[in-house]
Amino acid sequence: MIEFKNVKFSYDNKVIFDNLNLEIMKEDFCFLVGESGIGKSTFLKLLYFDLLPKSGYVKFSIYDSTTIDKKEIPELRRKIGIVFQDFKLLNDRNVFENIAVPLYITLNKNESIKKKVYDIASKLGLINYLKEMPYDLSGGEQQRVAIARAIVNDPVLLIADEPTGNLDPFISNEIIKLLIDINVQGTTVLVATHNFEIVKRFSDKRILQIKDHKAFDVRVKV
Amino acid sequence: MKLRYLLKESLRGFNSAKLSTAASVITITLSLILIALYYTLSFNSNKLIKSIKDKVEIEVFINDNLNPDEINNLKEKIKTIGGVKQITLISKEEAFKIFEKEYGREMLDLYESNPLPASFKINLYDEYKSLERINKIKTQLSSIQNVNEIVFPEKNLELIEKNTSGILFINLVILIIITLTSVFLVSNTIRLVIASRKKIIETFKLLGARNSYIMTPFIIEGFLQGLTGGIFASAIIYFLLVVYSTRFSQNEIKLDFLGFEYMGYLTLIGIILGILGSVFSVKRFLKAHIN
Repeated sequence: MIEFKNVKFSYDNKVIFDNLNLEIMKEDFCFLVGESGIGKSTFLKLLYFDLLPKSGYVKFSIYDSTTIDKKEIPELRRKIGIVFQDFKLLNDRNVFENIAVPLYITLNKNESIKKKVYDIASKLGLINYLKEMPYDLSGGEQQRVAIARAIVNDPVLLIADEPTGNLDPFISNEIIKLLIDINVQGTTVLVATHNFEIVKRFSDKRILQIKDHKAFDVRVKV
Repeated sequence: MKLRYLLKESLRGFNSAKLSTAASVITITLSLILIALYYTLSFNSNKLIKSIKDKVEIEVFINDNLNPDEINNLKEKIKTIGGVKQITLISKEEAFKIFEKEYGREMLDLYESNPLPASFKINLYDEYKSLERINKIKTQLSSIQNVNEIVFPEKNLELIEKNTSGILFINLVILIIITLTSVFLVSNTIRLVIASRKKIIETFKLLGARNSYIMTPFIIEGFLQGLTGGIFASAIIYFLLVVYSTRFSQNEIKLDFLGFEYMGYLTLIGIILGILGSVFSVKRFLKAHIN
């Protein structure tokens, strides 16, 4: 479902990826690990076409970075749920409206929006928070809202960028378990993290390490 | 697209960026007031020039002792000259009466008989009321037999023509300055509104919103800002109009202010300014900051 082939990417003179090759299959659960600043976020941005490779190509589903038309990018992004490192929750609207944004964008009907948001909110334990403003929630709760927004539109791929970033170990575990649940239901999940502890706890999952401008499959000894 | 959601989204914009929205509305209001004042100034200066030009006429004094037939012939000849709109005969007797009325009898009493010549007053078509064209007509007139003297307000006309081009130039400069300032100020203040919602635009974009979807609430906002600015500007101009007409109604300098019926146009200009400002600013923002 995802293919990176001979991908080169650099910011001005700083090389991030050089001949990066990898494939991720449908319904995979995959950790993307590497030190801070190694290029995990850049990798994800290449995946949702916020950045394009300098050479080589990125393929996701039917989309190819070398042939994609700018107008197709919104379509592509609607197939991907993204949990951003900084959550990107909108502070001018409550939790319900935050979760509903992708549904409004895809022009769902009001009733179907309500139903989908309530379903997701009850799954993620957010039903009592729907009228709250994001800034009134704890970090863990905000993270769950971000996940709810990412999966409300049934994406085929869920990307989570440092989803355990500022959370305590207990909540981090819960979040990863939640992502695994989502994966079990058929969504491909890609989790970028620099938290090796958490990866060790779920070592049966595929682990991709970014190192020396490339990506490698690694195994973790428990 | 869902209009209700988009309206809500626009009102949210008003709410989340109150200060910059207020700045934008004030800018639109000021721009519209400038436009209205400019219109008033240019309308009145044009009116003044026209009223002076309307009074421009040529006086042709003719030889004494012409019989009515000869005078009639002369009149017909003058009529054939291009540009002549109307020609009126002022007989010796009429000239005498006019002179008497204006200057009194004393001077006339010094003469044994009426010393004033008969004349023709020639009105020209507007397009012939230029110094150059009148001089040409003067040449044609002077070649006609029995025409004695030709008089027209040459100095005044020269003065008007000199100042007309000056006024037109100043008008043009003011118009350019006002237009540029309005567009610059409005698009910049709207850019402030948009910049304050950078995060929202970015997030929408990353969640798969099309540019048109992102732009629509801003266009609605621009419309509302323009409408508000237009109403404010109209109210202020109307207030100025009322103050002017009550305080200066006796004044000899009569200014024609922008009439009430033009307030709609002013508001329309405000709306166009608001929408264009929004469209340009969001487009520029989307280009500069995202992808």
